[in-house]
Amino acid sequence: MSGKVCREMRREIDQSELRQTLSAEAEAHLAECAACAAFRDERFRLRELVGALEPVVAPADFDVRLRARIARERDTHQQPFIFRLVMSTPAIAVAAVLVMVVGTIVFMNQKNRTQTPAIASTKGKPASLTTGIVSPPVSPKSDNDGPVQATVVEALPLDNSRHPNATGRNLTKGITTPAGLDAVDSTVSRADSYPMIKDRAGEVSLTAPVKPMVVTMYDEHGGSRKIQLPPISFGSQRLTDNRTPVGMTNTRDW
Amino acid sequence: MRTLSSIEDLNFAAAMPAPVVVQKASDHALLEETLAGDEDAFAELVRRYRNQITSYIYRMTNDYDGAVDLAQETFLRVYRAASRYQTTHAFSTYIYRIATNLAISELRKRKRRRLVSLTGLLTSGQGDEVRDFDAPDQRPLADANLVDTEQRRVVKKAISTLPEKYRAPLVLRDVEGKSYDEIAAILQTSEGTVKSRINRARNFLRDKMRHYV
Repeated sequence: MSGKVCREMRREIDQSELRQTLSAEAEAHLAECAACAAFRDERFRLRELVGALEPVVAPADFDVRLRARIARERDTHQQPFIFRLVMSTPAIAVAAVLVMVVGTIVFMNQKNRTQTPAIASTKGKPASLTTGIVSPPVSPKSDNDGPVQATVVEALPLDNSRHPNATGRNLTKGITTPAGLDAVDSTVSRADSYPMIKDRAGEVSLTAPVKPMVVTMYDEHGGSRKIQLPPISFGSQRLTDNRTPVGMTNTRDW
Repeated sequence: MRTLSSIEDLNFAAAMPAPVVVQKASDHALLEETLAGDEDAFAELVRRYRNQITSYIYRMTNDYDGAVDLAQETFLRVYRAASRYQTTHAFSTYIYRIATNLAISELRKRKRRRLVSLTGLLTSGQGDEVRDFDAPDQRPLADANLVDTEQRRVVKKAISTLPEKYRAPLVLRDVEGKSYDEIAAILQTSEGTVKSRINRARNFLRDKMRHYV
């Protein structure tokens, strides 16, 4: 039996309706070709099996549930466009990202403020400093036995919002500051003032800072030494949480 | 007093209202009425097709709850897009097309999620290759009902292991009894492709159910 004829016959069998009478030519072929006859029986049996699957019916509450879904859909469409836009998933995602970005920025800002103490340095510079109040230069003492020549003390508070005076308390009250020597900040209102009070030789007096302070001292050879001071309490003074331990760093050995 | 000579003298016909000939509205007409705001027309459409669509999607996905959900989604889409419906094809073709797309989309989602199910156990990593987990129990079964139940289970499982491109035409042809041209319209492909896919699907099934055919 020719393979081509068998292929044609099988195609006809495959595409015929179930239990449909085949063409006379096909029937004649099947009477002679056992393989094609077996193919027909196999295909019919297979189609019967698949067709015998019992039909599935929709549940009784199908219509009710569908109506509810349609009603929900309609309600959603009746909401104003701006509401749907705001309540959409992309909009919520964008809002979440924005909140995270803003939160991160605020956190980083806060962290930087917490870690940056007010800086006080002693340096033989003129009083034309940008930030803070510059106390008068302290002339070297007559007795040159001390290695340190503290000349200028500058207070550089970086955070105006954490200004001690923001609490309304006059921290410099009762402290003697030489008149006419306070410099005025061009950008901000009066900043922290840690006046240096002349004292004994080799000794510098400062008002107690509310926040950590770094005091930098220079010797006559250009060496420097930084001393980090924690906020000091005298009982009535409000302390901040960001206390740091006393630390010292040298740029050069003395 | 008048005496009755026959039963016709009672004249029931005059007393009873004439039988109302209810013409079954076509699917197109029902959809147009739905567009005009007639909820009952849409309810009628749902009544006509809910079982067919649920059954078809169930055969495609082998998950009854999911099939009901997708059938509802199918009707929801019909409702939503009623204004865009074009009468170039029969409504049944249109709704089956939506159902097919949803079912295939669900099958692809499952494939992506690699859901562990009986279906998953039967398919190999390639997806098209099918392992035979359905070797028949050689022990004699108690009665014909059990045989039928077992056969149906095996057929269902075998269909669910078919690749989706063969599954849809086979179910539409051998389970739903659609014609080739209708299947071609539903699947938006040529009739020749449909015939070829059905032939391949049957060959797959024959290999899977060699002991039952």
